[in-house]
Amino acid sequence: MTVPKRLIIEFEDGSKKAIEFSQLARPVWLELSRLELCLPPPPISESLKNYLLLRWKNGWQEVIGVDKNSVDLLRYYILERTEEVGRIVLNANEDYPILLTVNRLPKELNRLMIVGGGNAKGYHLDPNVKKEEGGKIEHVEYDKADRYFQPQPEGQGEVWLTEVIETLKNELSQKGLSAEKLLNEDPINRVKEYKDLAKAISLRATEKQEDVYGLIQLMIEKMVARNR
Amino acid sequence: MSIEVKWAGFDFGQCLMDPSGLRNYLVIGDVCKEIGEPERIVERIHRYRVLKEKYGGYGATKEGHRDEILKYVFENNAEAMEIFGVKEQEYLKVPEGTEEVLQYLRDHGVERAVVAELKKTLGPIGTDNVTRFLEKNNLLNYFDQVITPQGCVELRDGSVDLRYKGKTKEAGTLYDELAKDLSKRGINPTDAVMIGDKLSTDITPAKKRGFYTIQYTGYIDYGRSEDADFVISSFLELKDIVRGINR
Repeated sequence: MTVPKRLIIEFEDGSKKAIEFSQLARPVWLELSRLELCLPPPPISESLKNYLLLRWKNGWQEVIGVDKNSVDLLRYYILERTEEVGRIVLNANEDYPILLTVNRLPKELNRLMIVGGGNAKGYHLDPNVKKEEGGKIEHVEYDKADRYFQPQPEGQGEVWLTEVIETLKNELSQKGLSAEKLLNEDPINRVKEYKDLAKAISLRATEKQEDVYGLIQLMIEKMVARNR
Repeated sequence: MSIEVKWAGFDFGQCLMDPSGLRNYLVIGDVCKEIGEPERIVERIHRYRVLKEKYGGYGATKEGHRDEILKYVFENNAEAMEIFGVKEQEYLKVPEGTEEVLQYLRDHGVERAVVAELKKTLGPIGTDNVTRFLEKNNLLNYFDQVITPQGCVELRDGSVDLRYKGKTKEAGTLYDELAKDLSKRGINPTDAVMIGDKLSTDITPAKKRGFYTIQYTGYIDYGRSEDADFVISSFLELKDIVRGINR
């Protein structure tokens, strides 16, 4: 493979758009190289205008490039604060569990639902065990792997999901839409509708907006299946 | 030791209003999620932090540079900015015991006012940061006035006394006006107490004009000063310190 020159995007109607590789943001170029579509971007050949050289007491040194003409230290301070971070660990029947992070008010999370093709699973999250280890505290609210832990029955999932689906159904009827009709819309219009529906039923994405649209689509498909 | 007073003034920021629940990943995070752009949370938090460094603090940024938050953080997305305004209020807290103490002061016949360094022009009650916060937290009825460099708002009828306009706590001119105002009602500065966290705005200038002063360190402790008659870390301590003058 040689050095890539241009990235060309071809559309369904045959039209094309192109961009010089040199204009791509480095992370985009790196991502394309990870997909084995091209070589990774070359290491920077010219020096930036300034570099910060940081040196720790034990001699450890790090460098940060700052591509600005004139740089002067304005402030350096250390922010020390106790952070609460929630960790969701999912068993996916693979070699490794899936680890997700909850930064938004983790102690106030009290319900978790897993919605997929089969029946929804519902979990109550309540303070259960407090584990202290050095300066760290773990407030365990659910731990299936703990032999003393007695989880509440998971059968609530379908009830909870039905509540959400009913709210969605009401919104659809207020908009004069049916689940079937919405699924037959073209993808662009469907996403517009999903965006409005998400807002109406207070569904927000933690990291990716496509997750919200995906869940709405799944619920609409379930609606259609239940209507049959 | 306790003091007998007829009037009590409370500072607003970091005193009556506790911002410890305000976190960027909550406020900016919620805004981005509400507008369907959760992917941009990290970048926008970074931009907001850059603004904080530019203006020296989040308070200064929010009070004086909201247009720049709109432009630099939210790329002129007016909906995002509107949600930001709602969210920043949502995460503000009232310190523990506040309502209990205000009720206690009311029962003891002590008049109560908020004395705030509000920099924005006053509008109808519930449109500025102070009265909106009091309203949302059901504290509005506990106060008679909100005194600011933009004017003094009478909470009973919403009228604004513009004699306070342009006068500040830090320069002490706001306390001069307040002392004149109180004396018309038969209240001397020695019958009044100012409660606040910041020595340069709540304690020293008020003390110089003869007010009793109580330094509140529940959120920020700015260190000791001989101008503070008392130091408290919880409003509940006021019940041991303050008595109504005629009780």
